[in-house]
Order: sequence, then structure tokens, then C-alpha cells
Amino acid sequence: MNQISSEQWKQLGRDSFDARLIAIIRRNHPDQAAKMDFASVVGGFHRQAAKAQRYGLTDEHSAATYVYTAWLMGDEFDTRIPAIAQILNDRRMRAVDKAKALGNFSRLVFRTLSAPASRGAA
Amino acid sequence: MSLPTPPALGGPLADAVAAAEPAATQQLQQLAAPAADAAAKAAALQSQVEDAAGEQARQAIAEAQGQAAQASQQAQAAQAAAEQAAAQAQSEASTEAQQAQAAAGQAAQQAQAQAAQAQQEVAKAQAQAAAAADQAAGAAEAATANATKDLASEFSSTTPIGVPAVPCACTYCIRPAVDPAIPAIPGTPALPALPAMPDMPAMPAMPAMPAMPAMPAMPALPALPATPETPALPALPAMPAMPAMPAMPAMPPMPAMPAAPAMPAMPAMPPTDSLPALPALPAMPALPDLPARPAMPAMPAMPAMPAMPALPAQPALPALPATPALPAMPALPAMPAMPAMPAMPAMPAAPATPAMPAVPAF
Repeated sequence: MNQISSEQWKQLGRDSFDARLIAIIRRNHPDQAAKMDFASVVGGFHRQAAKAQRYGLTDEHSAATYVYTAWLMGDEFDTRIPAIAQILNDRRMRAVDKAKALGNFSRLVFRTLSAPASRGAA
Repeated sequence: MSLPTPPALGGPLADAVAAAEPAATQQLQQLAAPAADAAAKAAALQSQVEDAAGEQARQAIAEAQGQAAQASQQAQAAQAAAEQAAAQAQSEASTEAQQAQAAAGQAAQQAQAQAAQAQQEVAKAQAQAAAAADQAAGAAEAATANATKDLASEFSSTTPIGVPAVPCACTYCIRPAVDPAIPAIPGTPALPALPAMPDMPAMPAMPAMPAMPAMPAMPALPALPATPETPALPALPAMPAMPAMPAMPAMPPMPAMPAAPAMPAMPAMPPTDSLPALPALPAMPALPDLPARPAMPAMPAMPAMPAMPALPAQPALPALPATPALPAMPALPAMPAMPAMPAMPAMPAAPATPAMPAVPAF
């Protein structure tokens, strides 16, 4: 009977995580995705996923939200943006609330950048 | 927050920053500023997102209402033109005028139909305005919002990271399975197809379960210790005497009732004798004599009754058996002699009754 080793199981998990996240990026950002080499991006995904776990984002939805936000904002978004750093370093906040705040922040940033001058961010 | 540099992982933010207006810098700095604590900042972000969604919905509704008003004005203008053409045709009363009138009526109907259709489209736009608020925003914002929704549907918030999403065969899962035949990362080979699962071997028959041994009798429960008597309740302290109620003030005297006005005198009844005499009743006519009753016809004679047949002789009754003689009664024992009765004392002589007085003569 064939057996799957622990390392193979982890590799399957990483591949599944990457595949689903890349599919979402391709579906929603086709222009930017067309210009990128995802084979080289996967390593960045794994580094960001490891950072997400250090912030307490241990479930796959929260970790995927963190990796997606890093893809949008840049590698060091967790230390470069004070509001994000404050939220991620709060040990009392749940992972689901941190992920929700990351999603809201990304949305508001792009709303501000794409809005005309007459419309404020808040 | 300084304006972000192009991200190392992707380019959406770099593209948005390149097209942004200078006024957005201040708003981004406000957005990136920390709050009193992390929870307050997260709540502020949530509130701003909800406000933005509401503002977009209001804008979509306002645009739809403007389009509805414009369509209604066009319909009214077309109807007015049609009515004017019809009036002109009636005044000219010619064949060409009648044709023009028919065309005008048709145009008016078309204008009304277009107005009704415009109203329906406006109502539909109003209903979809709130739901389509995300799509009304910028392309990058809409893509981010949709990607956030996809993340919530594709990734579980209860599964730890690193667990592969195994396709489920329950047919109830809404999460689509990852197709291993399609490489997610260009340049990487596709995963080999999983081999078919072998059939499960038939399970051997389960041996019969041994009979359960009889349950032992339950041991008798030990007697419960006697419940100690409840100590007597202490006597309640005497209630302090209630203060005397203040004397009620004397009731004021009732005001005198005003004298009732005297009733007017009733008119005197006329005396009975003054009633007019009733006229004499006329004499009743004499009743006519009753006619003589006709004689009753003679009743026919009754037929003679047949003679009664003689009764048959009764058979002689058998003789009754002789009653056996009663045995002689045993002789009663002699009764003891009764004691002699004492002599009665002599009655005292009654006193002489006084003579009755003589009854006076009537």
C-alpha cells in the first residue's frame, strides 16, 4: 500500500494553497497577473505565509489574506504602514478580525487612489 | 505613510499610485495612521468601508432617478406633439390629415410604451444599485473587493495552513476541488492522476455476542442518618408600637340644601256627580221562537241473543289426604301461686262540694 510521507503531505498543502491563491489573483487582476512570473512569486508566497503565522494568522483564510495583501502592497507592508503594524501586533485581536481589517484597508487604499478629488476616503 | 513604492510581489498598487491624484496622498496618510488601539482602528476601517458602500449606492440611485425623470419628460413631449397633430388633423378634415392623425396616435402610443419601459428600467436599476455598488467603484477597488470575497470562499477559516484541500466526494461541498491536471504555476508539471481506489474487501460476519451475565443484586442502601431537628426559630422581636394616627379634622358641616320650590297645585277633579248621564240603552229585540225538533225515527229491534251452551260437568276432585293428628302437648308445669295482693287503703272521704249559686232567670 502506498504511503504519503509527512514532507509529501506538507508539499501537497503548499501546492494547494498556492494554486488557489494564484487562481484568485489571475481571476481578479488579469492585467497584472499576465505580466508576472508566478514560478518566482511562489517563494515569496511561502515567506509571507510564514510571517502571517508569526502574527497569529494560522488558519489558511487569514494567511491567504495576508499573502494577498502583501502581493498588493509590497513585501514590507506589515512594518511600513503604521495602522497595519498596530493591528497585526495586537495579541488580543483574533485572526479573523485581523484578516477582515487587512481586506478593508486594501479596499480603502484602492478606493482612495482611484477616486476623483471630490470623493474622500472617509 | 509615505506613498508606497511599487510592491515587490505585484503591481496593482504601483499602477494605482501612478494614476492617483495628488490629493490622495493626504487621505492615504490618514488611512495609514494608527488609532488609539488596534480594535479601534479595525472598527474605523470597517465603518469607512460601509460608508463608502452606502455612498456608492446613493450615487447609483441618484443617477437612475435622473434618467427616469429625463425619460418621463421625453414621453410627455412626444404625447403633447401627438395630441397637437391630432387636433390639427381634425380641423383640416382631409384624407392626408386623417393619415397624419393616425400616425400621430401611433407615435403617442409608442411614446407611452417607451416611458413605461424607462420606468421599469429605472426601478430595476434602483433595486440593483445597492448590490452593484462595488462594481461602480474603480476597477482596482472592485478587483480587490472581489478577491476578498473569493478568499473567503476558497480558504477555510478553521483549517490550519498547510493542509491540502482534498476533493470531497460528498457532493454537498460548495468549494470546488483543485484539478491536479491543470498546473497552477506555469512551467511546473501537472500532478499525476490519482489511482483509483481499490474495492473494499467484504467484511467477515461478526461472531455472535456472548450472553450477558445476570446483573448482581443491588446492595441495600445504608439507612440515611436521621435528619437533625430544625432548631426552633427565635421569637420575632416585638414590633414597635405604631405611632398614633393624627386625629382626622372635623368634617365641615354640609351646606344647607336650598328649599325646593313648591309644586303647583293640581287642578281639582270634577265631582263624579257632574258627569253626564249615559243615554238609555235601546231595548233588545225579542228572540224568535225555536222551531220544534223533528221526531226521532224508531230504533230497529235488536236481534235475539243465542242461548249460551251448557257448561261441561267438572270432574270430581280427589280426596285430600288426612291430616296426621297433632301430638299431644306436654303438660305445662304448674305455675307458682301468685302472692296475695295487699289490701287497698281506704279512700279518704271527699269534702262536701259547696252549693252552686242559683242561676238567675233570663
